[in-house]
Amino acid sequence: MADLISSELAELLQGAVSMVVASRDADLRPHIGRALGCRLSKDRREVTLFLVASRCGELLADFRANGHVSMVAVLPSTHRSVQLKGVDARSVALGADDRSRVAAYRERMVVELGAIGHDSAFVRAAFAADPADLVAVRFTPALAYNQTPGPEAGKPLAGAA
Amino acid sequence: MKLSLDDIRGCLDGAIPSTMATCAADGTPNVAFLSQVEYVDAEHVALSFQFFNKTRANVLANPHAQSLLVDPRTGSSFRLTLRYLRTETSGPLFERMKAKLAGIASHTGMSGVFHLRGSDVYRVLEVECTHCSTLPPPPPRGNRLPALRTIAQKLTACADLEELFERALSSLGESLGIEHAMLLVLDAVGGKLYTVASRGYTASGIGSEIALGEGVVGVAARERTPIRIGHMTIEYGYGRAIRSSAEHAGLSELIETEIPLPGLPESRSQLAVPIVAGARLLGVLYVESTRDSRFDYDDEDALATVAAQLGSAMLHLQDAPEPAVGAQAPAARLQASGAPVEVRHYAENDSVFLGEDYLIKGVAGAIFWALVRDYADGKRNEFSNRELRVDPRIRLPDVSDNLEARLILLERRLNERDACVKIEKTGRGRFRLCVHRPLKLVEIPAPR
Repeated sequence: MADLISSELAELLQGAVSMVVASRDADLRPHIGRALGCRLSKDRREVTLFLVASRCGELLADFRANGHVSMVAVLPSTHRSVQLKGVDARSVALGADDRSRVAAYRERMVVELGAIGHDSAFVRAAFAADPADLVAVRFTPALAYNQTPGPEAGKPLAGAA
Repeated sequence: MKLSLDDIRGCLDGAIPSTMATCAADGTPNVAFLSQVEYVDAEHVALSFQFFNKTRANVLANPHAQSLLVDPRTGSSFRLTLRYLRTETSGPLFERMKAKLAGIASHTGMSGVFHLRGSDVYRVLEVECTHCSTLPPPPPRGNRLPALRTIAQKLTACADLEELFERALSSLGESLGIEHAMLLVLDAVGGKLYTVASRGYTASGIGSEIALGEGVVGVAARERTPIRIGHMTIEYGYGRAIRSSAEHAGLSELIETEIPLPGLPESRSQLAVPIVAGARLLGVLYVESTRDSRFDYDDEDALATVAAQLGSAMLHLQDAPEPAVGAQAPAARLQASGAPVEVRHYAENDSVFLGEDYLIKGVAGAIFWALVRDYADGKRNEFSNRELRVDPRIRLPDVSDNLEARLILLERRLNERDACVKIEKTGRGRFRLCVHRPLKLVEIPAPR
């Protein structure tokens, strides 16, 4: 399973992608929230997402209760999009560099979205977060799907077969 | 304060794609981007169903969903808690979304990829602001309520249809800054709309026609729903009207009886609003702009309100009793002078030519032919709408047909062509035919 996330996909995920995360509760009601970037473990088996705690209360509660997670990432300039799923999502402590990672992520989004016409003040506002409000959620992707719009959308990525 | 969908409609127009979380029956969550979230009413949204994907399978099995929207002005995020209700595969909502999706697809380079299979309708259970941005929203583009009030007052003061059409378009410019507009009236029997007024175009296009179901205007009319597109689209370009007269071989192929539609060559935003009164479709109010996303939901509300008032006023003005015409001395005839002008009438489609110039066809052509015949026979040059309405030569499609709109069309065509024949209003429901050159009438019978 080491190849589920190729080095190329790892680069995409840690680049200027817009990321949204979903969980579900015991009644199978889904919850949705934004992630402000992520980092992958060296072996690319684990993804650590950065969330804003005050905006993601239900998601964090769902992860504590059942660990089911789904996340989608899209590179706005090309529409290239992937979805990862796992069953072991849990809160972990933020790493020493993670707050600066989130700040760097926001600046990458300023460049990426700037290239398709969004002004920087807008992008900074949309991706703003109080550093003290950041939390980390880690999971092991078990499934990966192509989500780029088109007939291939929804198919497992090659590495996932 | 509890938020409603009405408070965040601007997010649905956003350039920032929305996302949607669902959950499969086995408990696996799914999250995906949405290309389109359509406002249905304050409690419902519709999402485009384009592919048989996981989102689709999930909501059929488990109707719970959440969607994340971003305000395109401030960057604030809103979360909608949704419950799937049904899928519509035809009708106004579906057609509106299909037209809009074509615009989105063309804008994002996804033409040929995006194809609407259905409109999935969801009830909105809750709207929450999950990230309230500190970026102040841009100053509002003028308050449209007082603008609407001004327009309403101007329209109420109109005494006849011609004034109503003129005022409607000029006030859109004055009060709402909308510089390119046209007003089309329904020809129910012909299944088409004809332009009676326009504003902001090089050529007025008065008399040009659009078939029901053709382009943004024709679909808005057929489905009786506003269609608003923020980005240029090839699929719904209203293009040139299809020649209806070319159906018969021979004669009609030789004559050019098509008036080009007005329109912006670089149209990037389009809004077509049906004019409906009671159960009747009367026409379409159409506006456009060279700017992307020029018209927002509030503009759509404003135009729909203007169209509603236009509908009532059109009915009122055309149904108002015309004064009976008493016996009166024929007015002094203008002295026609100069070389005679040949007026040709093709019975096949009632098209009329003045010399070599195409003037008009259809009902307006039949009206013109009746007028000039009466004039040439020396009978009269004063006419009333009341007489025309029952004149068997004109064959109005039905009693409720908008005769006045056709007369306005004819009058404007004559003025635009600077023709040797003019129509001059002499009072309510009455007019005079002013002929400046001798006429030579030539009737071309319909081919067998």
